[in-house]
Amino acid sequence: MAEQNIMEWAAKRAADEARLLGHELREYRTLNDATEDDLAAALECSRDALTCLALCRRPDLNAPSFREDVEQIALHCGANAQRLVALLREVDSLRAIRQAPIPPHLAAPQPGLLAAARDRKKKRRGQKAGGKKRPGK
Amino acid sequence: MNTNTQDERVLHKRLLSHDATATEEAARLYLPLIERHVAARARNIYRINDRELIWDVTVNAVMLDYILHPERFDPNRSGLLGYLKRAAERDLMNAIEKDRRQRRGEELHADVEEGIHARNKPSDIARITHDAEEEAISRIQRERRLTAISKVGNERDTVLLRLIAEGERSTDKFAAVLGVEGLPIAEQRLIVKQHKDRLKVRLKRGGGKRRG
Repeated sequence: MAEQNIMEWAAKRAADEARLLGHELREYRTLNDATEDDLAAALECSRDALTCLALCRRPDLNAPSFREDVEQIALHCGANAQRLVALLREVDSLRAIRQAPIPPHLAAPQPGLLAAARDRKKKRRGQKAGGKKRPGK
Repeated sequence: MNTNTQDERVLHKRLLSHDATATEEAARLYLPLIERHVAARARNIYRINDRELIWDVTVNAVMLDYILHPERFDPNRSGLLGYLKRAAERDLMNAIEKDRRQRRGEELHADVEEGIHARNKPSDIARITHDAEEEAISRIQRERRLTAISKVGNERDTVLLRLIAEGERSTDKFAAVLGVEGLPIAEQRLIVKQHKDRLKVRLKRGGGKRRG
């Protein structure tokens, strides 16, 4: 019982460590507004397996051993390796997008798409912007 | 109770070589042992029974001091268990001292932690340098991945992906980008969901690589 508790505590702390898989699991949960049960379902594993996964080393997507590492982790903790690969790619891609600078033509002062999306709330309800306009090209 | 020295050395080598599951195996092996040691010490010496403090101290010693930095431990100089216990004892003393100072409302700038960090300066410097190199490499890799993702989509997809990445939940904002804000809300939700699902499939595939 005590072992389980300290392991869970460590798994929570692992979320703050970018070198551990717990960091990616928390990122996925945040991005997808997912509960622990949702995450367990996404990886086809138990909640105990999530603790195990969180404490494993985060596989490097660009390393030649990536697939092998994920399979080792999935086998060790009892999760679906394919699903884990997909989760890691999704989180990594979204992080890359988030960290990239916004291209000038999409940002202010020209009311680009992102600016339009952000300004949307300021517009009064009921005011239509000309039907189904297609921004961009 | 006692861990076998041979197994200990094998696990240590796996940690050094960044084996994918060695971190979890080491945590499962050493956390309970060090937790018991810390709990006994906290109770017997400091008359403290704070479960979360004991867990934090244990995790700091086992996970942060050792598992994530196995190169700091020299197996030729001492046994691992002794090394972890000493690290935990220092962390416990530091945590309790910090707590007492906070309670007394004292300044924290000269706390025990600083003294410990000062003693470990060379290894800390090496760690910081190593971390900076890793960060630079991962930044380059991220940029490559971003380029791969951006190649496939159009401008609108780029904005949608950005909103997803920023954790945006509001249908309003996605609908505005898609130009469907004039449609009934149920329809907007459906269209937004379809686009989000489409983009997430691409993200899961790791950018531009499409199968089939």
